[in-house]
Amino acid sequence: MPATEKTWRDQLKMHVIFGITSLVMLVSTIWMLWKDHNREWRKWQLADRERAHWTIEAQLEQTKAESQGQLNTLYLQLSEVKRSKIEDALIENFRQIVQAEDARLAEAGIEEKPVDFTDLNAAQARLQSAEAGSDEAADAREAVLGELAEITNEAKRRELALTGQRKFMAADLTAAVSLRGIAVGEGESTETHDAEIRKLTEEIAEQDVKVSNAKSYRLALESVVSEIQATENDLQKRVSSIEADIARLQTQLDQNPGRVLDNPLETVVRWPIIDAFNTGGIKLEQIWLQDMKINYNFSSVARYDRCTNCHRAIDKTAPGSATAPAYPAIPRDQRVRALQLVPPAKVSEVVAAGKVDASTMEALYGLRLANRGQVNVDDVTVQVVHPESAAAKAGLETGDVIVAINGGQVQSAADVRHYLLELAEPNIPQGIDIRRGLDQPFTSHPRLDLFVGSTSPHKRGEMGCTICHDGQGSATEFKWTSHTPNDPAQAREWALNYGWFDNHHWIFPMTPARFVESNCLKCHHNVVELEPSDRFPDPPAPKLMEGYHLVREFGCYGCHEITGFDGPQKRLGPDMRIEPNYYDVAKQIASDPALNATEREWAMTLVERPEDNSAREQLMRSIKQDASLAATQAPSPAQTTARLTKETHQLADALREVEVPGSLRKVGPSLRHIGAKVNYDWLYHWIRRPADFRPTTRMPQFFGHFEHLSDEKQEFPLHNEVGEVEMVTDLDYTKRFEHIEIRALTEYLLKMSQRFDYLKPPTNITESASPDRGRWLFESRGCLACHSHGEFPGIASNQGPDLTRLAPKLNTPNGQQWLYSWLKQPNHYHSRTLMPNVYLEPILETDATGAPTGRVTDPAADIAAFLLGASAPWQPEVPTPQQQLSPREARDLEDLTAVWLTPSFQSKRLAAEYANKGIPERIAGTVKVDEMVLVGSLTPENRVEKQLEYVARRSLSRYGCFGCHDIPGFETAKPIGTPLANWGRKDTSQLAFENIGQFLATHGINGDQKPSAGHGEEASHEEHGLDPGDFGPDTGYFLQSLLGHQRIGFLWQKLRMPRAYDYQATVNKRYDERLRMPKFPFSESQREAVMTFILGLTSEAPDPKYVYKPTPRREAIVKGREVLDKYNCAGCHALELERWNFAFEPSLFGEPSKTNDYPFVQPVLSPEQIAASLAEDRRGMLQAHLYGMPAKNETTGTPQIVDADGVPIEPTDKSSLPFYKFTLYEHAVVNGAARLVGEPDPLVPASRSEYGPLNGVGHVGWGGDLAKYLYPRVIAKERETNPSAVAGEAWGWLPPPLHHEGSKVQADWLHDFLMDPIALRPAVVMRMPNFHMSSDEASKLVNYFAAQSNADFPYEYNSQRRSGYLAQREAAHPRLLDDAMKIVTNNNYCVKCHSIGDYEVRGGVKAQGPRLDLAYQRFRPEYLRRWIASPKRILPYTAMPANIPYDGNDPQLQRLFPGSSTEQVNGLVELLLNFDEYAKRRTSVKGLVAEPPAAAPTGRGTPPPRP
Amino acid sequence: MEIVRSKYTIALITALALSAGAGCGSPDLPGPVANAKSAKAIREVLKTGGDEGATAATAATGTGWATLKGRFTFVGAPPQRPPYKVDKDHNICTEGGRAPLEEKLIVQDGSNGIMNVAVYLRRASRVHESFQQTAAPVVLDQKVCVFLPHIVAPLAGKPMLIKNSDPTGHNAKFGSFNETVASGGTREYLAQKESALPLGVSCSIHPWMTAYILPRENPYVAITKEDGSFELANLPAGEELEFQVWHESSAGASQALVPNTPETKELNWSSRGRFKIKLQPDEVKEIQISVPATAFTGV
Repeated sequence: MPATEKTWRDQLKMHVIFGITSLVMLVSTIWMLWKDHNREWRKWQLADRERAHWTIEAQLEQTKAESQGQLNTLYLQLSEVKRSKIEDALIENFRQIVQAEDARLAEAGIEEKPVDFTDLNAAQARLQSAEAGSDEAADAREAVLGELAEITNEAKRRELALTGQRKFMAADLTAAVSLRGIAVGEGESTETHDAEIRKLTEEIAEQDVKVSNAKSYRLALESVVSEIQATENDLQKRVSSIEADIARLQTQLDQNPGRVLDNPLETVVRWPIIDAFNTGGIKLEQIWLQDMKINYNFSSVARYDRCTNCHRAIDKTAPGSATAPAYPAIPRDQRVRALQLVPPAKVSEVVAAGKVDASTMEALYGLRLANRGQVNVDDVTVQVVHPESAAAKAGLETGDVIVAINGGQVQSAADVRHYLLELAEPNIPQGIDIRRGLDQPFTSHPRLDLFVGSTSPHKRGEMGCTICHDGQGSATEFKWTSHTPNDPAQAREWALNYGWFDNHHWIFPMTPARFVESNCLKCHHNVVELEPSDRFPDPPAPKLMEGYHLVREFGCYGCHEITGFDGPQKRLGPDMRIEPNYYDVAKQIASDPALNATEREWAMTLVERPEDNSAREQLMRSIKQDASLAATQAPSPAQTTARLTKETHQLADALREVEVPGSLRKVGPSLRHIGAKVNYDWLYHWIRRPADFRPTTRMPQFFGHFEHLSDEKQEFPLHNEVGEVEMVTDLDYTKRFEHIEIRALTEYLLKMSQRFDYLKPPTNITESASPDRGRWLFESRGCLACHSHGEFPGIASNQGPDLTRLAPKLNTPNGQQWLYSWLKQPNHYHSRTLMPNVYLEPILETDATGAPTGRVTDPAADIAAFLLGASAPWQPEVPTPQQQLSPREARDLEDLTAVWLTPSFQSKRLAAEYANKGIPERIAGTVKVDEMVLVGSLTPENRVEKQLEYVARRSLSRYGCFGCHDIPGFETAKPIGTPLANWGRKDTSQLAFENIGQFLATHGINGDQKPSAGHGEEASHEEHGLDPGDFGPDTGYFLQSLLGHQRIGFLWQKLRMPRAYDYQATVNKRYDERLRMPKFPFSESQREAVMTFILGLTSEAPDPKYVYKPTPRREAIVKGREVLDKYNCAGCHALELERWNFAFEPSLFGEPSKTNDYPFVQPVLSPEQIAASLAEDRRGMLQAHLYGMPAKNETTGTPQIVDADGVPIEPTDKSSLPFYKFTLYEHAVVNGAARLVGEPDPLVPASRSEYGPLNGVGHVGWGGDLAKYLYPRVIAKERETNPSAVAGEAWGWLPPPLHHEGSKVQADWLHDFLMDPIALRPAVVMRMPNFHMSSDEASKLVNYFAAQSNADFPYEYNSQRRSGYLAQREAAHPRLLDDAMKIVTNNNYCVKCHSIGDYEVRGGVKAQGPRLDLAYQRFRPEYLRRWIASPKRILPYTAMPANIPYDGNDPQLQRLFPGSSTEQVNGLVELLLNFDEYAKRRTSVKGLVAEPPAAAPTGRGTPPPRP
Repeated sequence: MEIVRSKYTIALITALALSAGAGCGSPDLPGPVANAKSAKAIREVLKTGGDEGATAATAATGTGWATLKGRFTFVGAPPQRPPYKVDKDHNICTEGGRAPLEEKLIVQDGSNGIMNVAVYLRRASRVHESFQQTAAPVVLDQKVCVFLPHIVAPLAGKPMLIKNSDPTGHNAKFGSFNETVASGGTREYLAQKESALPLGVSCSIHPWMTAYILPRENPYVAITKEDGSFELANLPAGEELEFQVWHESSAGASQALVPNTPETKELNWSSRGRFKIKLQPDEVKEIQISVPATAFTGV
């Protein structure tokens, strides 16, 4: 076919298509560019840039306004100085230096033209004649300074010339040395070279002298010149500093382009593509965290956090502070505040005079408004507030948005002028409503001390954001970052404004604000490290810590294991597991009568100290040996058979060593001897509903949760009295079975209870028990540190149960005996109890003069009498059932037995048969342990008993009672609940939400509404009939989460109504398959705290480098803290006192009082400390940091408010300015001077609105509640016998504060003291109880105290107790110890109050101190020295006087101990620290050793006589 | 009374505002003063600055000198004084086996005079020259395990002596002072600041021993004698003087003695045990205060 012009396709058509596609492509390209250019983050960055511009401008203007006055003064002073005269003496001094130098040069023969003073003299003359302050003076002064500068410059020039010459000489020397080197290489003679080198070296040395002379000359001249110009330079420096501040802000302002609209060039360069050449600060940034992985299910990927693209100010600090946020995130409901602005007197005058404008506002009120808002352009915003102006006094600040004035809305600056100038009356306060604070993302992080900040432990670049907050860090758009709203209202607002939606596909949605502390657990596995500390006194994670403590207190870990380990080394998270059950096992083994004596001894050792490895292993081996005998058929009659029972053999395995043992004890009391304590009546009601007896109990409620059960549909079969099956409702069915379970449990626990030997009162008691004495003993012996009691409303501790109501439980013969034994020796009943032995030993009464009266009382009996006497009445909710089962109950019991048996036999019929007749012997080998009870034929006589026992055993297993209690026979049972170690990441598909939405829709949010009759069916089909928006922010939030099938919602509901998930599910479940989680009596906030903790359990430990690794000291503190919490040490002792930080006017504190202290007692202040105490903030105020506590009122025990004279006033006294007397417990540095412990209490201005200092915060201390409670009471008690008793000393009769225990006592001593405390201070109303802690726990406490005090641990070297030291000291001071002993035993000093050796102090205990003969074991030497020298410098309240005052020139006590007062104090320390050596020297043993008789003279071969 | 007090507060606040100095933009009240020196500075301001009657009360306007004297008598039967409960050093601390009597409230038989009432001027604008002569230092002795006298009032800035005349060691503890005073020995004490109320003195070794020390910056302090009488001579006349009345067993707040009788009503005696009076030059004013038992605790 010939070629033609015709194309295959029609050209025109092709052009059209091409044209259209080109257009489409163009449009789509433009669209793409537009889309990319308009990404959300750019919008936020531009907005933030504008905000930053606004802020800098405001800061600049504010700085100008603030410093204008100061600058003017400085300029004036500077100009004055520049016109002042110069002291002739200074110029003369200058001249003399010059002349001396000229003379020196001339003498050295150096030719140098002598300096010509003509011009200088002339200028000086001119200055002398000119009038100070005149222009001539300025001129002449400048001329004089010019001349001086010229001479100085000349000196500088000469010095430079000499230095230059030296350089050339040094180069010559280098050359000569190389030439010599070459000569050596070529084998030539080096003689000439050596001479040259010598010559040059000498010349250089001479030159160095010249250079040095010239330099000192120049420096001398310069020093005179700078002395002349000192004032001038100083002023100039201050001016420059202010100017530099302003210049710095100006530069910042210039560099920040601000609003695009304000900048014509910007409008162009912000266009797409072009903007790549000029970012203008708008660019995408990211924090790349290579080792901080995120788990994408199949692989772990490095994190990219881009959050800071929008949250640009997140790490900005307020000017002048390293940690205060620049833009505080103020909660919305606290943003608007009402201020009072007082118009000045001149206002009407000025307004009347004419036109008012912005400058009038500024002149009258000191208030300048910005021309636009900080973020919202239309906001009427304060830009500048002049110092001390009306606006400043009203409290207005830069950035405040004026919302309304006197109720009238403010829309513009003109409105403000209208209200404040035209309408305002002079001196009549005007109400101004302002809004303070910015919205996200413009705010800064609220805790920059902890997070993001450059000085924080979680720096922005190292940690990023999502490790703590979760969310999608790589996203740059609000909706894709998976922000999580904190309540439904916020969700709605976000959805509306930012297109937010719940992104189900992102598995790590941002943690909502209420649970943000959860994620701390990823890296803080020991948890207690998140308590407030010295470095972070503001609690870092209060809600999480509350949750942690609740989990510990309520013992959640008893059923739900929280394992923090993956193998012995790898940590995954917090570890909360029950300790190995060696105690329970040993107790059970000990009940085997066939145990031999040695085995019994081992078992009892284990009962007392389960940590005893040796006893445990020997016992285990011994039992296993016995078990192996049982396993083998006895081959011959000679071989012994096994002695021990099969159960004991099985228990041996439970004594194995555990690789990483848990450390928590079961939270409930032991039920092993429960029959010795309570009776059937009480126990039945307790199991049924613990809160019935004790409303504050922590024991959860297992029975009676019926809200989800139907009482309409009769679907459940039960046998009636005559054995016929009838259908009952779910409610009836459950009630009847629960009733049987409670009865079975009660009987079983009492039946299984093992024998308990009550303690008998000592025989020497002469007095019968007295509730009155018991009352005071209960109050003062420490019981209230852990228990509360309605009789003592001033203190409430929940370490132990509330004891208000005890009689209905224990006022039985058994109960009384038990209570007595328990009070006297709690560990005799249960050695794992946390209740300590408080040493209720018999008390030998004395009269007022201290003489014994012959009466002996028994404190344990007294306290028991008080507790049983002062008991609140109780009427159980339901009557106690008859012991005998009714026929219906018997039927129910059998039905329940059958239900329990069903899973084992897979047949309802067989189960029913076995339940009635018993399990045939032939299949006994195949049944489970619990079912062994039913093996053999059941008879009418034993049927009920056996069935009850079987049901009880099954119920105990099902409800997991052994998770909290020691129950015989359940020693080796395993926790029954879901492990919680990674519950925070639990797959929601594994959570059975079932019909919970319908349940709440039909029963109401609290489950307490009855579904409306007749509509039940329809109502149950209503899908999610509840709208979260109808509820408050909390309930609404959780409900939304629950309906959205999220973990948080599930957990919330599970903790509220644990059985509600069984709604409409019970019909398809056997009774034993139903939900069994009990309900804990949590309050709303407690529930949220527990959730915070549980949601943080993720087992997602990041790279080890991010996991918190404390320093050894910090670790000791963290480990010790766990033990302190466990035994509630803080119940009695103040472990930390209060820290008060506040700002004050420099004039507040005058000179501290003068003291006369030993040099080693005086505090050493660092220059930094002093400088910090003198640093003024922007308000011109200084900062004070005090440690201690405010003085307390001796009658009420509350902090005493005083007036400016220190005289107590009532808190209601509004006319006096209120102060606290703050007793220091550590030296403070205030206003540049040290404030010492033991000096008069400084008066700290009190805040009227709340407890603590004015203008600051009072961080509460830790512990000592009992001491504080008892303070007024022990004073009152003591005054009954001694009306003169001094209130201030009463702290010495109470448990001491332990804030520097570590620097005080020796580690060894403290360890042993904690294990077995001795009575130490006679004056204290109680004594340290015995907690029976393990050596490991005691060591942890010892290390804690030492670490806290920065003392050595775990050991300290005590050189003063080495014999060499003593020998050396005695060489210098012969009879050192004897002389020191003279002081001790002198009738004026130590023995007046302290017993020592066989000398006992007489008189009342309040005037007695600890024994001195034990001091050598107890004290660290330096502490003892400081204590003897000046006791009040350590404990401000101590009664101990300074015995040896520091008298440098006139030492006392020379008759006793010749030497200086320091030597005397040292001598006492040396004696006390070596008292054992002193005593040894006075003990003769020689006489006790019989000398062997001399050998018989001829007795060859006679054996020596036998001893 | 309320009015006077609030006027005083206004004056104080004004003074504080004045003393706060320039450059303070804080909306809060400037920090108040917490020590004698600063308090003094404020009083200076009060004297010179301030306006209208608020400061007139404390302004030094008078000339000449006057005397205030009087007597405190107990209404009713004098209370019993039980012996101290001596439980230590019996041979030293009892005389003839009899312990010394408690000193909490000493009422003279017959005259019913109340001993150991402290009457002192709260602030003195000027001090009579007779006080400038150096007097012998105040001495607080310890004898038969009793402090003698029961109340001492040293001048701040002047040393006082604490003695021990017993053959056993004692210590004296008050304020921040706590030193052993050896048998037959003496310790010196210098009060650096005045105290608005007497401070309790105790001996930790013999806990029944008790006394009071009242360091003052002005010498106008009187302690009533056995017959309940006191005299304060050479007081600044022609200006309002404010006195504090104190007794250790008073039921009033901070042990302020508040008799609540017609005589005290006439003096506008406040609930803090204070009354104000203006004396003419050379006037000798005498006040008789009968104190009902209800003004004391434990009676």
